[in-house]
Amino acid sequence: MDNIKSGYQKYFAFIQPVVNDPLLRVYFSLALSLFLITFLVIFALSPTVNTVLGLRKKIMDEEVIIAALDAKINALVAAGENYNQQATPLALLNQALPDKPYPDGLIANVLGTATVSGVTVSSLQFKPVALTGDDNTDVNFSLSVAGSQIQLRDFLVKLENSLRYIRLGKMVVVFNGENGPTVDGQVTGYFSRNR
Amino acid sequence: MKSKDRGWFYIAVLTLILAVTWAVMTAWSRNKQSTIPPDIEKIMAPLNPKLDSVILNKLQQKTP
Repeated sequence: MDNIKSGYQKYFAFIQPVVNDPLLRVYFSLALSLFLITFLVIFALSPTVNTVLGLRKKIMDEEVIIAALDAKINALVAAGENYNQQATPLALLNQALPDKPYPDGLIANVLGTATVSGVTVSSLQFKPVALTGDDNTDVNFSLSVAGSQIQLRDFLVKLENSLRYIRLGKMVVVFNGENGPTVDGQVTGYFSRNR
Repeated sequence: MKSKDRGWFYIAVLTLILAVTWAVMTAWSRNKQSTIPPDIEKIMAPLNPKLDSVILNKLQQKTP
């Protein structure tokens, strides 16, 4: 019993100056109160406020999503109506700019135009085309055609104005005396993968 | 002893300020963070329903 009493006396001796002095007592209580408030801010207030703010933010974001999706639905309906109105020209667009290289279409185009213009295709050579990857959107080939000057001019004009999107590159006209002129050139046909 | 207790008081005040600042900053960053998943953001991208009629007319003119 005496041991317990002497133990408490030791603690009392430590806090006695604090208890006796009113100024120290005020500072001591204030400091303890502030530490308690800090503890509550960290472990009680902050998580609660964060949860409330998180839920509020989620509700706001979901309202934004609903508004954006509503706008997109309306845009899709309008796009569907526009598509139905322009169905024929859109089919032409698929021919003009297909989603795959279709070199066979280009060959048919060149040969058909050559037949119409009355020129002879003596050479048609395609460069390799990457079948995968989004970067590549062109098919390059070289051609060599022979005919009269008027026929060759007509062929080139018709080829460049053909429905399939084609761009003529460097063209070299070679005059071979009696055989008539020939045109050697580079041609690029285009396609669009991301459609 | 008095100045020592006043020191504890100042430490308590600074700790409280620090805790409040930390709590406010955490709340602010939580409020700024978007909760929209990336796949939904991709779906939300706006769509232009207009078709380029000029190009389509040009294509129609090109048809033999």
